[in-house]
Parts: sequence; structure tokens; C-alpha cells
Amino acid sequence: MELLKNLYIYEWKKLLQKKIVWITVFISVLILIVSLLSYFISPYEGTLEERFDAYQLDKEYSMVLDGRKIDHALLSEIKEAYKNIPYTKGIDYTITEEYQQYARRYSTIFRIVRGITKLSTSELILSWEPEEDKFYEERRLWMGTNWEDLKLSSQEKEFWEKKEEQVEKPIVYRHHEAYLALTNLYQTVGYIVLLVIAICLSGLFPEEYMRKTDQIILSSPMGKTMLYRVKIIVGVSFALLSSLFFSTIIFVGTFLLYGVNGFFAAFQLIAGLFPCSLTCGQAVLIMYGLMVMAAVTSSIFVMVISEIFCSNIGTLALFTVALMIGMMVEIPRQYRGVSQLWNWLPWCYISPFNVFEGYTISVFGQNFTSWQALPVIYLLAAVGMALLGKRIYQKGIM
Amino acid sequence: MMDRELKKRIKKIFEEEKPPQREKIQFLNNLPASELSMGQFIMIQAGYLRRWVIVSTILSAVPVLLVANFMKQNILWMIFALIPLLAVLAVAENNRSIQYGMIEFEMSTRFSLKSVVLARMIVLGIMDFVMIFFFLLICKKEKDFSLFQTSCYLLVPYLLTATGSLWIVRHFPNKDAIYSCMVLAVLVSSLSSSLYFRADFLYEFSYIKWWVIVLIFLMIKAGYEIYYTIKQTEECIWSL
Amino acid sequence: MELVIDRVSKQYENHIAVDRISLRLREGVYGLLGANGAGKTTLMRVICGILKPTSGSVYFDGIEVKEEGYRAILGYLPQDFGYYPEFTGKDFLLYIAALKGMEKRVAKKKTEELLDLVALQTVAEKKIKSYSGGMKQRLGIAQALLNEPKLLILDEPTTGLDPGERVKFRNLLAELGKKSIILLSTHIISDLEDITDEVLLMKSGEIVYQGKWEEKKRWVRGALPSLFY
Repeated sequence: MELLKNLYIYEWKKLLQKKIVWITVFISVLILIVSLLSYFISPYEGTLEERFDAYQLDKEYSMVLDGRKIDHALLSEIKEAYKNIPYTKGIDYTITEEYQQYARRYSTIFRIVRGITKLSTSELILSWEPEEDKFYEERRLWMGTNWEDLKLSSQEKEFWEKKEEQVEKPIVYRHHEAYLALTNLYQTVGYIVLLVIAICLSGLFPEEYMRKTDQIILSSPMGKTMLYRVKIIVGVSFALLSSLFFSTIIFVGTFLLYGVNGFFAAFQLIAGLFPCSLTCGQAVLIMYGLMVMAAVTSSIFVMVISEIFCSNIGTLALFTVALMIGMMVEIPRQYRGVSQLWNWLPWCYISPFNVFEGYTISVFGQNFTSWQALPVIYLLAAVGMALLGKRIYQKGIM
Repeated sequence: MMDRELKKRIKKIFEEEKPPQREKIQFLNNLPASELSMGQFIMIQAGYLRRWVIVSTILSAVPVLLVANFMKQNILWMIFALIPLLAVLAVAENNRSIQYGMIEFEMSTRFSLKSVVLARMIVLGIMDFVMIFFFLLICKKEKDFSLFQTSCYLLVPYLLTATGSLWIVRHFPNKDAIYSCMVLAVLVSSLSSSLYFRADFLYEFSYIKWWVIVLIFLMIKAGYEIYYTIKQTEECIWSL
Repeated sequence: MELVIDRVSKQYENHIAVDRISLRLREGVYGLLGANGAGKTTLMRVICGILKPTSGSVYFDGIEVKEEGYRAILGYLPQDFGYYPEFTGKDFLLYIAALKGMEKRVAKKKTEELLDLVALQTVAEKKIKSYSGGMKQRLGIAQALLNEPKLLILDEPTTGLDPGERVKFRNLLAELGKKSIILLSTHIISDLEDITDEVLLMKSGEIVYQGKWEEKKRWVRGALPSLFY
């Protein structure tokens, strides 16, 4: 145990002595802070101060609506408010006085309603006839369309139907700005974490070969078995710590800016068509928890690839390309199996759309959602990759 | 058909005896050796560029073409992601002499290290600018930016990476420098990709003046780095 | 103690680097001589367990080379080795000591002793990147001796050492050779003359001569040119 601890400390020392690690972490923190403040630094509606004042006003309106059910009464109020706005082609209606006077107070809920009912044009808004039953029925229909697009099996549809029955209707509105921001920032944070892992860990193994210390290490008693374990543990620890570190920055920053309200708000306020009775807080914890798992799995992947390539540059290039392709490329849903597999890769999974997509995995006739199944799958993949890496390492670099 | 025997005899008559070889080697040594021009030297250096660098540079067009043809969106995003990697490929290739310990050999030749570095820079620079021009043409499919606008948006991340990498390689002439350049490229790539989505207002025409200012600054800085990189090759001679 | 090398061969695609070498070595200092490309470094790497032989086996007192127990008694100085530039000399030795399974307290004591022995005590807290070539070589020697090895494999150990340091090193080896098996390869004959008990001449992957240095000194000197051509 003492030996393990000693070697663990030395490997951390080797990692933290590299200036590139500190520079990368520093720049990543900067990028995260800019992302966090991006709403306020956008010049679309005036100066920073004006933007902040606008946010405060929206927050006040939102707090007034906090606790109200999205029922017939509220939907009718929204319709009446938006009916007053003069819609002119080519002019953004949000800059009109009528919008500020009548509709703005309902804008946060209207965004949710719009997401469900797809009221994309002013004609659709004006012709919209709000009815509570019709609203939730329309929601149900859009969910069904979504399931068809995803090519879900009848078993899966049944599974989600049962989950949908547990969702409290009418949905109660709660101020949840912080959790919306955390959901929107999730992919950015995930991307940054994976990038930091790739930059800092891709040299953990090849460094010994590049610095020509491999011969001394491999000829020592601990060099072939213990050291491999230690390096993997250090890599996993680094992935864990960096994902927690960046998540903490984002959580603290978001709560400072937007407040902490909304943990128990229905997640349907963020993802209108989501058929599960999760709260915003639970959903955010699931996302960020899965990000930590994806980070750990990716760290082992990076380390094993670096052993195969014996090059930190090659590893970094490959992983960066994989990250970018994961973000940009979407497999068409008609290829269900490939699409699901692609979306569940760690570097593709760091997106709220993929976390709460409808794909499930069936084990012994029981359906499991991605956030239930993936921790186990990632763990097994991580162990498998680590064992493969051990074989490669012990075979030697020569 | 001429008689074979007759042919042989005629051949024998017209075969002259070869004169004795006197001072042949001296004669050949005294012939003025044809000197390689700088242009020829550059062409020769182009031939010595590593194949995978040339192939990778050309292949960077493939994902862009795929995205342009099948997705018809996110083309600029893909280009922003790839362009810094082009820059770092070029700088890494340029830095080969230090990486593989060839400095002393190259410093002691007629076309010294300075010429080698300059020749590589010219060839790699031309290659990259051809790729950037190609990307410019492809970009038109996605957005209605003018050619001038698109050039600014593509050249800024490219020059930022190239300038930063040249600075790193100049100040840290060791094998680790290229990895640091790669990290810079990855960070610039991530930054430019995320700006495109999170701060898309920066790509409006009203902000073009800022892009031009940054571009001019980077061009001056790049020129400065190139100048001092080449100058440093001369300093190497005196510091050894 | 006995090191048994039993019909060890190492073949690469179309080149046999080590060709069925069998040796039995006991306590003492053995010099391994041969031209560049004779297979000395390959043989040493096989003995250290870094390279897997194509055939044959290596045992030390019955322990096979691939077992951890074997590497516990081994000290190895490679011909061309690297370091972590940000580590100090002391850090490096402590790190290698940890890899050798030494307790921290014991490792600290041994590190100080060895730094003193190789005359690096004044620069122990300085980063290795500031060391000269000779200092790095001495650090390499020190790490090989950390675990008081019973089997010491040294590949060109005197590279970069000045004449004074070489004499000190030879004396150290002569002392160590009384209780360990030392195999050292070198191109410098004078390094072998005073300390080696036996010399092993290697050519094209084979041992062409094994015998006492003193007995066949003249023969060995005469045979040397043929090794190199």
C-alpha cells in the first residue's frame, strides 16, 4: 500500500510538473466563464447593464408565475397577451412596445408552450386556440412522432407511455433559469473536460518511451505491473477531479447568476416532450454525473490509445478529431442501431439531447434508459480497455 | 538486305580507336559545376517534405467536402475546427531539423539551415494557402458572407495558431514544443468552433472591422515570428 | 549465485541479433566486448527482461527473468537513457527506488549514500536538465545500485565520464564484483583490463570467446581486430 501511495504521488508529480497542464486548465476555465456569461455579453439588446436589467425584469415576471399550473386559464392569458402584438414581417416582435407591455411577462412560459405546440410563425400564434386538454394531447402526439422518428420498438413505446403517466399534469411552472442554463452549458462543459483529459493524459504512457526512461522502468520490479496500475489510477483520478472541478465552477457560477430556484421544477419545463417525471435538479445531476463517467471512460481510452500509438501528438490528434466528429455528425435515425451506438459513445453522449433521447436497452425483457444502463456499460468498457492496455504495456514498447 | 558479312566489315572500318584517357578526373573536376539556384533548391526541399504531411493537408478537405455535400450545414464549423491543425502541421514540418537533431548537419552546408527553413516555409505556406482558398470556395455554400469576410474568419484562427506555434518553437527549441503547438491548435480550434455557436453576433458585418484589426495584428506578428525564426538559425551558429 | 542463460536467441524479421547463446555466470565482473551491431545491447536487454527472446530462457538462482523477484535483484544501466527534466537528481533516485519496491525511509538513506558515492551530493536538489552529460551518467549509475543488486548489467557505463571518474567507477565495480554478478559492455579495453575476471567476445550474435582476461590477454588483443571487421 505504501509503495502504491509513493508511486501514485510521483506520477501525480510528473503530471503536475508539466506547464502545459496548468496552461490548459487556465484557458479552459476562461472559456467556461465566457460561456457562462455569453448571455450577458451578447450585444443584441444593448449594453451589459441593459442586458442585466432585462434579465432582472424577466426574473421578476418569472417569479410572479412561479407555482402556476400550465392550464386553460394560463394558456388563455398567454393567448390574450400575444394577440396584442402587431406582427410585421421582417421586424422582430420582441422590440415592440406591445410586447413589452403585454406579452413579456409570459415569455418564459410561452417559450415552453411554443416548444411543445411548434408555434413557429405569427400566423400560427394568432390562429392558436388554447385549450388545456388539446395542449397536452398535442404534446402526446409530438412525443409519438418523436418515438416514430427514433424507430422505437413497441416495447419501448409502452415503457415510455408508463413513464409518461407518472408525469404530473397540468405541469406546474417554477422559476428554473439556473437549471436551464446548466442544461444549455452541459455540452460545452463536457467538451472542455474531455479536451483537458486528452491534452493532459495523452502523454502519460508515451512519455516514458519518448524520454527514454522506459528501459529503467521496465527492468524494475514494480515497473511492469504496479506502475501500470498506478498510471491508470492517476489518469482516472485526474479525469474525476477535472470533471468535478469544471462542474463545480459551472454550478457555482450559474447559481450566483441565476439563483438556486427550480430544483423541484418539472424537467418538462426544459424538455417539453420528455416523458418521465424527473425534476430539473435530478436531470441536471444525472447529466453531470454521467459526464463524470464519460470522462473517466474517455481517460482510459486516451491512455490505452497512447500506448498503442506510443505518441502523445497522435493520440491528441485522434481524440480531438473523434470529439469534433462526435459533435458535428449525426447518424440518421433510420439506422437505429448505429445511431444509438454512436450517440452513446462517451464523446457523443455529452449532449442533453442524447442523454434524454428515447433509446433504451433491453436486458432480460426489462428496459433501461441510457442513464441507467450507461454507467454499467462505461464501467465494463473501462475495465476491458484497462486490461487490454495492461497487455500492451507488459509486452513492452520494443 | 545487306550482306551480314559486309555490314561487319563496314562497321570495323568506321570504328575509331578510342583515344587514351589522360587526366580524365582532373579534366572533369575543372569543369565548372552547375550551381543550384534557390528556386531549384526550394523544389528539392519540397520533395523532401514528409508524405504524410502533404497527404494529411490534402485529406483535410475530405471531411469538409463530406459535410458540404451531405449535411449542407456546419461547413464553417468544420473548417474552423480543421484550420488550426493545418497550421500546426506546417510548423511541425518546418521544425524537423530541431526535432531530429539535424541542425548541425544543415548548418554546415552551402544551403545552410536558414535556407532550408525558408524553403520549407515557402512550400508549406503555399500548400496551406491553396487549402484555405479551396475552403473559401466551399464556404460560399453555407452562408452569404462576402469573400473578404470569409477570408478574415478563416485567416484569423490560422494565423493565430501559426504565430503562436512559431513563438513556442522559437522559445522552446526541444521535442516537447511540437506537442505544445498541437495543444494550441486544439484550443484555437475549440475556441473558434464555440464562438461560432455561442457568440454568433461576432460574425455579423458590423464586427468586421474588429476582425480586420485582429487579422492585421496577426499578420504583423506572423511576419515578426518568421523573421526571427530565420534569424535564429543564424544565431545557432554562434551559440554552439 | 548463478546466472544461467540457456540457448537464448533473438531474431528480428530477417536478422538474428542473438544466436543461441548459453552462459553460466557466477560472482565476478564479466566484460562483454564486440563491435557495434554485434548484439551486446540486445543480449543485455534480454537478460534484463525488457526484451522477450525468440527462444531460450534466462534464470537467476532458479528465478526466471519474467518474474518480479528477478527484477528485484537486478540493477540495469542502459546505453542511452533519459530522465524527467523537472525532477531533481534526488527526486529521480527516490522515484526509481519506489519502482524498485524500496521503503521510503530506506530509499532516502540509500539515495543519500549513492549521491555521495557518485559525487552528486552538491547538485542533488538541482533539476536534471541542468546536469552535464557526465553527471547524468553518474546519476544513471547511482540508480542501478539503489537496490544493492545481485545482478548488475551495465551497457557502456563509462560514456561521458572523465578519466578520474572512470578510475573511481572501476574501483567500485571491482568491489561490487566480489558479491554480485556484473556484466558490462564497453569499447574501452582499459576499462576491462584491471577489473574483469572474464571476458566475453561477441560477434554477429554469438559468443566467440569466453575466458579469463589474464590467461588469454594476448590472444584477446590479437583477436580484437577480427571482431571489428
